[in-house]
Formats: sequence, C-alpha cells, structure tokens
Amino acid sequence: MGIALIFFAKNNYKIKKDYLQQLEFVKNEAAFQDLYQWVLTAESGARGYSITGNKNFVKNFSKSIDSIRSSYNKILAIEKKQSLNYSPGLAATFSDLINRKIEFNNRLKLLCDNNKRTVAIQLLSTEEGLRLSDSIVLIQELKNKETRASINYKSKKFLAANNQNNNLAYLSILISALLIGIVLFFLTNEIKITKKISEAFKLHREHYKITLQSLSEGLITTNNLGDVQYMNPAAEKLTGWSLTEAKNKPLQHIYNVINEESGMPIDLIISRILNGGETVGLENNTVLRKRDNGDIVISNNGAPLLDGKGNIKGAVILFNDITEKKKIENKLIANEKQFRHLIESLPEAVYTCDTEGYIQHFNLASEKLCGQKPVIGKDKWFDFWRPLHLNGTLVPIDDCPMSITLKQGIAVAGKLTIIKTPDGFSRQVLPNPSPLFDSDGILTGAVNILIDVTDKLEREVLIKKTEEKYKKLIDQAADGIFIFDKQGNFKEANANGCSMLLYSKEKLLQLNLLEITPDQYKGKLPINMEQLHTGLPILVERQFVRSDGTEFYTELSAQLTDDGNIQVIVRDISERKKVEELILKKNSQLRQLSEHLQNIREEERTHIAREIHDELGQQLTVMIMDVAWLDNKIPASELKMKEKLLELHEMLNLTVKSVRRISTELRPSVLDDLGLVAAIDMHIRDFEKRTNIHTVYDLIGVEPFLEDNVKNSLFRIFQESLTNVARHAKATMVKVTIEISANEFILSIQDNGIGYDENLAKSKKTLGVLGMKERAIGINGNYQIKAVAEGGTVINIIVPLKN
Amino acid sequence: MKVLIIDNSVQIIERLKELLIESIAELTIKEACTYEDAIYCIEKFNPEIILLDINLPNNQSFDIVKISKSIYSNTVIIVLSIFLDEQIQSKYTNMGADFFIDKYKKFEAVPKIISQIKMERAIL
Repeated sequence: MGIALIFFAKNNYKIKKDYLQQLEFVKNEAAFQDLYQWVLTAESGARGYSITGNKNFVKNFSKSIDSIRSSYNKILAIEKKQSLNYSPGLAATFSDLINRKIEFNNRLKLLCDNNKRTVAIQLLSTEEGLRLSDSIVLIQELKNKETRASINYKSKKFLAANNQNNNLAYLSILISALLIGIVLFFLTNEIKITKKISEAFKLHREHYKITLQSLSEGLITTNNLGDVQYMNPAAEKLTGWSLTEAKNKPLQHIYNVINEESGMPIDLIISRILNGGETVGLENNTVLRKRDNGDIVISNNGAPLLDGKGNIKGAVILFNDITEKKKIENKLIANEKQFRHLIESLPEAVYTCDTEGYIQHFNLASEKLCGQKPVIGKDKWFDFWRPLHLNGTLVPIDDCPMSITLKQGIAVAGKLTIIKTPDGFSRQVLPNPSPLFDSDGILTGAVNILIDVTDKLEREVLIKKTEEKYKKLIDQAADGIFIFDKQGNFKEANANGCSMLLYSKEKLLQLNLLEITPDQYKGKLPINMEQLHTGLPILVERQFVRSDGTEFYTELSAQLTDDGNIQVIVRDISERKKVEELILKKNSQLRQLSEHLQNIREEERTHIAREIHDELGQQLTVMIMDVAWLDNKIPASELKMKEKLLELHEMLNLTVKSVRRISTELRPSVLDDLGLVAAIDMHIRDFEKRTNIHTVYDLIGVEPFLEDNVKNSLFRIFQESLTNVARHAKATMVKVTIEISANEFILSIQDNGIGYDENLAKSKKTLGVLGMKERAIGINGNYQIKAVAEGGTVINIIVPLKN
Repeated sequence: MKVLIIDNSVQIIERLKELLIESIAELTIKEACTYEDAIYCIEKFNPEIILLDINLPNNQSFDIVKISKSIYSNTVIIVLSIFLDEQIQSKYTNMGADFFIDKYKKFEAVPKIISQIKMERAIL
C-alpha cells in the first residue's frame, strides 16, 4: 500500500510535471510565434529600404534593433526551456541560427545607418540573407514537431500510468477509509488534471491540425521510406495531388521540382534528408512541376522527422508558391537594372552623394570627365571635382552648388564653371544639383548632373564666326540678296540689294515685294509660290521698280529656306537685256536681209532662167528652123553639105537640151506656170530618173494660193532635202507627202537611209540644215528633222496658211 | 484657109510663115507677137487654125486658148513649145488645145497637120 502510494505519488508528480511542461510548450510556442513574427516585421524594414531606397523603412529597423536583439535572446531563453523535448543537434542549430541572425542584423544596421544601400542589397541577396529567417522557422517547426512527439509519447505513458493509478486506488480503499478520502481527494483531483491534460492535448492536436490545415505554405510529410504520409490542403493545391491520391506514393512522384533556368530535375531532396539527415533549403529558381504540368516557382525547406531517440522517422517538406513574389522581385530587379543602365548610359556626368558628401553613385560619364573612379561611400564629391571660375580661380567648396544643395536642401542651377580633366583639358560644365529626400521629407543626399557645354559653346562660337563670314560675303556679293516672308514682306537685304533698288535698308525692310513690282504684275507676287513649295528653285526674269520709279530687268532666283522664308537672289540684267534685245533686233534684221537676198537670188535665177529660155531658146529654134530650111533647099546630091547640116542640127539639139537643163535648174518654169505641187511632182520624177531611188508621192488636199516666197522657200527646201537624200542618206526609197488642210501646208520627206545624226551634223558645221530652218522661219514655218526609230530620216516642214 | 501665128519671137513667126507658104497654097496668114494682138486677131480675123507659142509671159498662152475656144470652138489650136513637160501639155490639152508640137524637133510637122486639116475641111 505504502509502496503503491509512493509509486502513485511519484507517478502523479511526473504526470503533473509533464502536463505543466505541455502547457509550457504551448505557451512557449505561442510566445515564439509572436516574438518571431514581430522580429520579421521589424527586419523587413531593412529589406524595404534596400529595395526602394526609402529611409522610412530602415528607420523602424534601426530603432528596433535592440528590441529585436532582446527578442532573439528571449527566443533563446524559450529555446532553453524547450530543449529537453527534442534532439540536442536541433537545439544547437537553432541557437547558432539565432546568434547568426543577431550578428547579421548588426551588420545590416551598420550599412543602413551609413546609407550604403547597394552593399545592404548585396548582403540581403546572399544565401545568408535569404535563408536565415526561413531556416529559423524551419528549425523551429522541427523542434516543435519533436517536442510534440515527445509530449505525445509522455501522454501515452501518462494514460497507462493513469490506469495503473486507478487500480491502486481501488486497492487502497480496502486499506484505509481515512486515507481513502485523502486518496479520493487526490485521485479526483488527479482525474480532473488527467482529463484536463487529455483535453488540452486533444485541443492541442486539434489546434495543431487546424494550424497545418490553415497554413498557406504547402506541407508534406513522408515516412522513412520517402512515401507521402500527409499533405495539407495548401500542398494539395500547389502539387495538384489530393492527400488520398498521394498517400504512400514516393515523394518525388508528387513533389517534382526542377531548376527554373536549366529545366533539370533537382537532386532528390528526400534522400538527402532521409539518408543524410540534412536540413535542406532548396536553391533559388526552384520550380515545382504541378500534376497538370503547370509550373510554379517555390521556396522550400526540408528536414528529417526524428523520434524521441533521434532516429529519422521521415521527412517534412515545407514549400510556398513564390511565383508572384518572384515576378515582382524580377520586375524590381529589372527596373533597378534599367534605372542603373539609364544613369550609366547618360552622356552627362551624374553622381549622387549622401548628406555628408560621400559619393553613393558615380556614372561612367562622371568617371570619364574626372578620370578617376571613386570608392563608393568613402570618397567625397569634392575629392573629384575641383570647380574653377571662368577666370581660373578655384571656387570655394562652400560656394559650390552641390554644397549649397546639401546644406539647404534646395536645387541649384549652377553657373558655368571650368573643370580640369586629368589629361589637362578644360571642360566647361553647368552643375545642376538637386536634393534627395526620403518619404518623410528628410534630406538624404543630392544628385548632381554636370552638363558639359564645352562643345556646344565652341560650336556657338564657330557658328557666330561663320555667320559673320557669310554676312560679309553676302554684303560683298554683286547681286542683291533678299529674304522675304511668305507674304512677300522684306525681312533682310544686303547692301547691293538696297543700292540696286535705291532704298535704304531701313526703308526696304518696311516694304512688300508687291510695292517694287511694276503695274503689269500688280497684286501678284512675281514668284510662283506653288512652284516654290515643290522644293525646286525658281529662276525667272522679272522687272522691278526702283525708288525713283525707273524699271529695270532682273534675273531672279528664289528658293524656300528651312525656316519657311523665301531667299531671293536678284541680278540686275538691264545691260544684258539691252544686248539681248539688240541681238534679237540684229538677228531679225539679218533674217530679213537673208530673206531679201534669197528673194533677189530667186528673182535673179528666175530672170536668168527665163532669159535663157526665151532668148536663147528662141534663137536656137530659129537656127534649127533655118537649118531645116537649108536642108530642104540643098539637093540630095550635096552629100557633104547635107552631112554638115545634120551635124549642125545635132549640135543645136544638144545645145537646146543644155539650155533646158540650165534653165530648169535655175528656176523650173513649171513652178510659176503650174504651181508648187506640179513643180514638186516634176522634180520627183526627175530625181527618181537621175538617182534610181524609188520615190513615192502622196498628195492629200488641193494646192491653195501660195505667195511666191512661200512657194520658192518650200520648193527650195524640198529640192535640197532630196539632194541630201541622194548624197548622204544611202536610201533606197523616199516617200514624199503633201498634206494640205485649211490651216496648214505640211510637206514631209521620209527616207529609209542611215538616219540623221544631229551630233555628226553639228560637228561638220554644215549650214544646209540651218539654211533650211531659216528659210522655214522666213515663211513663219517650222522645220523639223529627226532620225526615225525604224531607220532613216524624216523631215517635216509645216507652214501655216492664211485664210 | 485662115491661119494665125502667135509667138513673141518675130524671127520664129517669119520662119513659120515661110514654111507654111512654101508648103501649102491658099493660106491667109496673120501674125501676133503679143497677147493683145492675138486677142484682136482672133476676134477680127476669126482664124481656123492658130499656131500658139506657149512662151508668152504670165501664162497668157493659156488665156488665149481659153478665149479662142470660147469664141470659135472649131478653131484648131496647135501649141508650139520648146519645153515639153507632160503636165503642161496635159493642161493645154484639157483646155482645148488640139496639137502639141516640139518647136525644136517637130516643127516640120506643122505644114502636114495644117494640110491635113485643110483637106478634111474641104471634104466637109
């Protein structure tokens, strides 16, 4: 009995202790969750600052660093209390992780406080930065699991012990009623406690189950063979497998992870966990290939599940869909890269510094300009820029625009300053520092854009010099040079332009082009604006009126300028015009003279031809008649005399032929007697007979009355054309067409010879074609000669007919 | 038979007259050297045969043929020319000229033609 009571009491004490321990565990776990949640929130400030550059984020982090550290210490204290429930390895790992986290935070704080955002980003993107918090959570989860397993085990022992206690209690009734009451009291009390523990344990299991069910992360547990034993709903959703389907299937079948970049399967994590007992955190870019082949990016951790003795009973995989997070991160990284690339690719020097003047960023153009590369966060801006006044003296640092911006937090449009480059050249720059503020409006530094205007200023000087040079040139030009707007208002005039028009420049610039245009052009600009808008320059002759009212001829060249005005160059061609008019007059006189000479010649020829024909012809006729008479009178016996008379008769006949030929060549009498058409017809027959060139003649219409000069010119052109065919064309056929309409007389001569070569004709300096053209002009006609595509030459003479 | 010789060459008229007188009897021959004389003779003399030289200036020979034929269409017109162009010959023929003779080569044919006409007229 005593022993039983002692055993009972001992057992009871142990049960109570376990119960209290269980309560403590629940309490501790809740405390850990609260603390760690707070710690993570506070820590996220540092990450927020690093990504956005907003100091507000880091403010909380910096302020709370001591509290964070204290919280971590509390977590460690909780950890000590819990450590009896799980394996010592886990406890050591957990402590190590917490200490590493404290040390990591200290480093991060230092960077944030010193505005070394870039380095903070680098630190946060290290494996340590990315995984430390996750590892802590994971270890905590593993610890909890082991703790729960331990408590579960103890609870079972407790239930067994409880049954044993009950039996002992019944036995003790027999021993002592008094003690029974006491025992009953204790027993009742213990039953209540046991019930409470049992309810608490049930509650905790329920709580634990609900927690697992409601976890947003996927959780999969396996047995020691790597077969799936449990999946929470999140894991079911993420993998596409239900627990029922997945249960007892190999983990890699359900949890198919690959490397996002290579697409290669990642080593079987389950074997690493189960065989090596490793806690596995998967690398970045891990992709879970879902059952339906959809891919999601995940972060995950895996750890072995240990029994109370530290034996591996299975594995737990905790994973989370970070696809969206990854997208945002990638976008942020891309934006950051773009921004940096933009700054780097700017042709202007751009740098930023913190409030103390330490350089935070320095683009390539800045490096090129100053020839050095600063140590970011260590060198100050004035170690690199030594601005000089334009007179070469050094600008005091406090007077520099950047100093003013950093002191007063205002943007400064700096004056032109000189910067000496390392290669000894001076560059003229315009500094434009602007303050940088955080979201609370606190000055965090400044950005300075140094605009190098050296080349621009040099170009401006060059342009000015060029302008002056051209201005001089324009003023010295012999022509008048003007600029007008589209309405014709004078905008600019050179010296010669003013003297040409006899206006002062001031007066001229108040006038419009119409005001110097003669009456016959009034109301109409002497420049065709439509043609001008085609972009082609205009070259025309125009008259203008000087201020004294005199008119003069000009040659005007106009074109649109880039600014939409009209640039006009005017040349006084009065003298040239006079000469031209004189030449035209002389030409006209020469033509008249030429026509007169032609007519005289024609008349002479006509006269000579008629004289030969009439006088010589009649005398020859008389002689022939007399010879005939003599022949009749002389007896036939006078043979010698008869013979002589015959010779004389033949000689006279030959002479008659010659007379006829000479007369006709000089002037065919048929031209006067029967007209042009008959003369042409006769000439064609004679031509064909003489040359053996087949000639086709076609007459359309009836010959009208033609003046003698028209008849003569047309016949002589025709005669010369046929002569040319016979001499040069190497033709075998000629076609002559006369087409007479009411208004025109068209004579066309076409041959099938070698074709007229204009260049050859010019090089030979022959006057034949020129003479024919002149003859045609003399009768208001038009003479055309050209080679035809199919071979040969065609000549057209078109003469207008008077009604 | 009345014959009118029209030619602006007196020598030729003489030669022709001599030739006709020697060759044909009973001819009454008149002479004209100008257009005006010729028209006058045609109107007054009313010749049965006209020997016409085409060489009168300004195409007067054409007009003589025209007028002569209009006055007395039976008048035989023998055109004498030293210029034998087919077109001109054709033109005279169209206007009513009856014979066309080359003065150089064929003038001896003139008495034969007139004799022939005389004989034909005598028969009629």
